[in-house]
Amino acid sequence: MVEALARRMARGIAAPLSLGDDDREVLEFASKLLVVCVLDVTVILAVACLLRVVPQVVTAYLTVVVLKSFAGGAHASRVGPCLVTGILVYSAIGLLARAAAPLGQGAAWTGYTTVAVVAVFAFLRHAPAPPPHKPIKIQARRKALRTGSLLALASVLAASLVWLLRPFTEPGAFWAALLGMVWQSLILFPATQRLFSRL
Amino acid sequence: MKRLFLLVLSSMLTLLALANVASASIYTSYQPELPAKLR
Repeated sequence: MVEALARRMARGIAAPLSLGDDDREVLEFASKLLVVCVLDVTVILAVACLLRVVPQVVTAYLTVVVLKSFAGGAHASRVGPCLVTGILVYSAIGLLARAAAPLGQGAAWTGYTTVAVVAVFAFLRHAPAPPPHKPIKIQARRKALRTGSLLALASVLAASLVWLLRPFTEPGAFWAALLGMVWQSLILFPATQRLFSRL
Repeated sequence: MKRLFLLVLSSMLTLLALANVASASIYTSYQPELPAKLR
């Protein structure tokens, strides 16, 4: 369905502008990205609304957006499994973050330290991890993405630390950011990428 | 007017495609295959 819609959008734009096949393929690719993103955000937010975990899911989603843009990670090979995975993962993160919210500062510090260690290890060892059909061929680009991913992780860890140090007003969102980092670290590992490529 | 709208739309979509090429991957779980022109 997504492919058909994207193809239709691309043809609808390319034909009146008399664009060639190469340009139409680029438009089709971009239309797919757009449709998948809109679908992903809409479905995940709708489920988050039903479960009443919108702030937690939005925080986790934004954390992953920032980190994954630089670091990459596992991808499903089709749209359906991608959507189902997104719904399951972000709903679980939202519910877990809400459940963890009553925990005190001690647990928050322990969680923060553990997640920081795991995330730094995963990023140093595996980032950037592009999808198999989008390999990084230029070494300078790989280096730039690696630097970007480490800076993005440092920024997210610093923001979480500031959140932890100031009066702890929204612990659910804090835990959601931590769980978002856990998810992003997990999808960097080759085993997770192999698992996702079969979906 | 329609042509101008389509030109703007096609430019925005091309920018989106290039932004995706520049990043490591899209943030959703599904990354479409890159077209030959962008490889």
